[in-house]
Amino acid sequence: MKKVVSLVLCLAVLLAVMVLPAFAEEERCGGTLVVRINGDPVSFNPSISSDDNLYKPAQNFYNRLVKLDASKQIIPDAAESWDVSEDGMTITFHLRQDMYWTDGEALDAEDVAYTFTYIKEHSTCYFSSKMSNVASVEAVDPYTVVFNMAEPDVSIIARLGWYGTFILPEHVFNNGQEWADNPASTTPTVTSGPFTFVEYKQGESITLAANPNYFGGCPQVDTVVFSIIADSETAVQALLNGEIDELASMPTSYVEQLVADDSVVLALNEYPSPIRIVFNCLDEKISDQALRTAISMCIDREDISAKATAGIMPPEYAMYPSLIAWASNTEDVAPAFSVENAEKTLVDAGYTKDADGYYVRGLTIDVFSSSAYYADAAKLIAANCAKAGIELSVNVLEYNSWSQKVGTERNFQLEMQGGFMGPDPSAMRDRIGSGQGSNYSGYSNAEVDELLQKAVATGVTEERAGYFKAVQKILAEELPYVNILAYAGYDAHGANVENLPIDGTGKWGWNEYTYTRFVD
Amino acid sequence: MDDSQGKDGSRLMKKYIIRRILSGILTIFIVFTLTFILIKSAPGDPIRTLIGQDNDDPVLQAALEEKWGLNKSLPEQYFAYLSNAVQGDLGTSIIYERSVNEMISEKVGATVLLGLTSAILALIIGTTLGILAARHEGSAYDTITSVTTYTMNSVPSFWLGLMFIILFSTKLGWLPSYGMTTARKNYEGWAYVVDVMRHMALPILTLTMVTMPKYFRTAKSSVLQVMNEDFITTLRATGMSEKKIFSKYVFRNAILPTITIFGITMAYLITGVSLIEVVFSWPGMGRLVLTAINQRDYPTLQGIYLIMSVSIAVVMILVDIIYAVFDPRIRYD
Repeated sequence: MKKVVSLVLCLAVLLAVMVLPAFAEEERCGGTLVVRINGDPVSFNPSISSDDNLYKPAQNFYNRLVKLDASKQIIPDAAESWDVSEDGMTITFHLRQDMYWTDGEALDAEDVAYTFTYIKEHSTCYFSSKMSNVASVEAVDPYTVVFNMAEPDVSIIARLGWYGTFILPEHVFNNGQEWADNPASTTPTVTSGPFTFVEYKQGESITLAANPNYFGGCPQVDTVVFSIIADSETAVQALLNGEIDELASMPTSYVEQLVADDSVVLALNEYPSPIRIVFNCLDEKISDQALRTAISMCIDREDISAKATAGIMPPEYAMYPSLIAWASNTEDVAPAFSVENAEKTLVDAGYTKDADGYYVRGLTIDVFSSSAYYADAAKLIAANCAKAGIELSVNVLEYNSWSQKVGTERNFQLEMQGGFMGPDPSAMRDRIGSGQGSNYSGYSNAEVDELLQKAVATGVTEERAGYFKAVQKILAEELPYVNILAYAGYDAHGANVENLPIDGTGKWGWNEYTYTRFVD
Repeated sequence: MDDSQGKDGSRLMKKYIIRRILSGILTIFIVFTLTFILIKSAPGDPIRTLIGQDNDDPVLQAALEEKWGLNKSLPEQYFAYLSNAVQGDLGTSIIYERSVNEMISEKVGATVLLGLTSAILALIIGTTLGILAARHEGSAYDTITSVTTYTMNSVPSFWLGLMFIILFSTKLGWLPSYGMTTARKNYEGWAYVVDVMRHMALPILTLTMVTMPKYFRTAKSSVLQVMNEDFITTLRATGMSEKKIFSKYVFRNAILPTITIFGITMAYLITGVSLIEVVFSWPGMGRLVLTAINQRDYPTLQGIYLIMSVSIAVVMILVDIIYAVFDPRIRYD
């Protein structure tokens, strides 16, 4: 029996089939779309590393099996459907049959099998370690590719829509050279996406041209230029004077001004990347659950949202982002804000006040400086902690210093971080699974590990949701971390442009410009 | 001067130059070693940049460390890099997997274009205004230019750059706000040259405005100092015209310190334009430095610092030699 999840995905395919031709049939508007990116890409091979600066261009000249849409949920890309065997040991992807590389060769299952076999065999590829549960990738026929699993893990389906998973042309890359040495990793002339690669000017721009043979229809604009603008303030001015058409993650300080400007449209882009406090459960003081609970009660999320982010980032009470509604447990949430209850929790746990009125002294929270609201949020929490008799000082560090201290040395008591909790909720395993690299808290709970293992061994969404919610219930009690805000930022674009990536939920990819067009 | 004195002078001069070059090489070596230690001591590493902020993956991390030789001991890494550097190979960028020599050579032109043009403009404008202020000391002109230049000296360059963008690009729409060329157009020939010049206008205006006060102050104080020398009073007593005194004696003596400052500015050209390159998205070396610092791209950083220390040492040696030519006492030091 095929898994229920396939039905949901088939609906998505159906929706895409209904919607996409409508756009393809519209008369093309032409023109050059200019999109801001922050810096130079590391290379032009998006399957080697996780490169934020290449993510947008690569989404527009290569394809993946699945891709994320604006809501950060997966939608079909090269695979029009997929199914999971009952024992979870085989995941089969059914490819579209109308895909071609720009040199006329068909994009088929052999390309997919070659790409993922190479990635698996090369540990320096970003996605290689994510394939530890994959035994092999096989092309069953030209349009069917199978991932044979060593252990059941359906989370890989969603992960295939994230970094390092773009399908590369076997006839170009399988020439005996390593990918990094292949000229196609510098100049990708044979591509499959809605646009073709034209030119890269280091430090300036990446230019792509519309691919008239793209299986999703010829893009609406003739050219997309990804313009490299390092400074966000400058990028805002470039948007205002029409030099660029789109600017993602706009500085919050400009929101008020741009809302009042008719020439610009703002769209709130929410991510399942909550801003959270991570408690170091291996620290002598912080290992006490009562203290973690008391500190959690000192977090006034409404106040932090209003004061530190001008209300742009909403409070997050759930232990897994409420944006991913099917997996988020909105009933078993972190302790509510109450300084009185925080103090009571400490007293009940046997803490006593010192002469200065503190129950606990000498705690520190490490935050990094590149996002100003982190420090502001930490200061607001520290002020409430002081009222509850907890002495908490805020240590603001440059990102690399923070990363060294917190990430590498794990030398902290409390720290604040963001970070993607998708594309599959099993990303929780990376954050709190016993011994996992991104488990900064050092938290370990056999029951949580078991529940998370069960959640990736089944493709039935309801079952998976049950496991994820049970995990969150435990986390809300034991508090290895606590979410504060749901990450959100405004994407801005000119009022003369429509069908941007932010508008494509369920229809087209996040960062994809196939249907973006100029309007009068 | 007889022949023996001339030969002595020439011999001493050669000896001085050789000594200066040797000390320059020693300085470069010390700077190279110190920067290697400092860069490696700084928190963070390029592997963290490569694997991504949210990806604490020990397997991938170990594989990349091995690939880039970061699992070797520091002395091993140091001598490996040193042996390549003395052969002119600055290594491969860990982040971009490209030759550092190639990356630097691609960017240096844009930085020199911006830095040299603004330095020349600042030299000419600042010196001219400074001389005029000295010649009209105490006048309204002197007061206005002095106050203006002192103010400009206190203004952060990145803030001034942004203000110019808001005024000339966003409000007036006269000039582009970023980059070296227009993204929507693909100009060629003269149109391309004009396009680049339009893009240069605001960064150069900003750099000129923030650099100019240095020349203004130097020129003004030098002229005032020379004009108060006894020999100028003597020349006035001979009845020589003020114009002739100024052009023949004051200007020549007063201009030397300004030239020295120009030389030093050139030596520090890369660091001087870094922030401006970021504000205006100018594709030069300054931006390369800042990106490499943020990403902890050791080979790129080390390569850029080496180039910077060599260029500073060369300029300093040249300045010393020029001074030695004009002041023979220096050769005996």
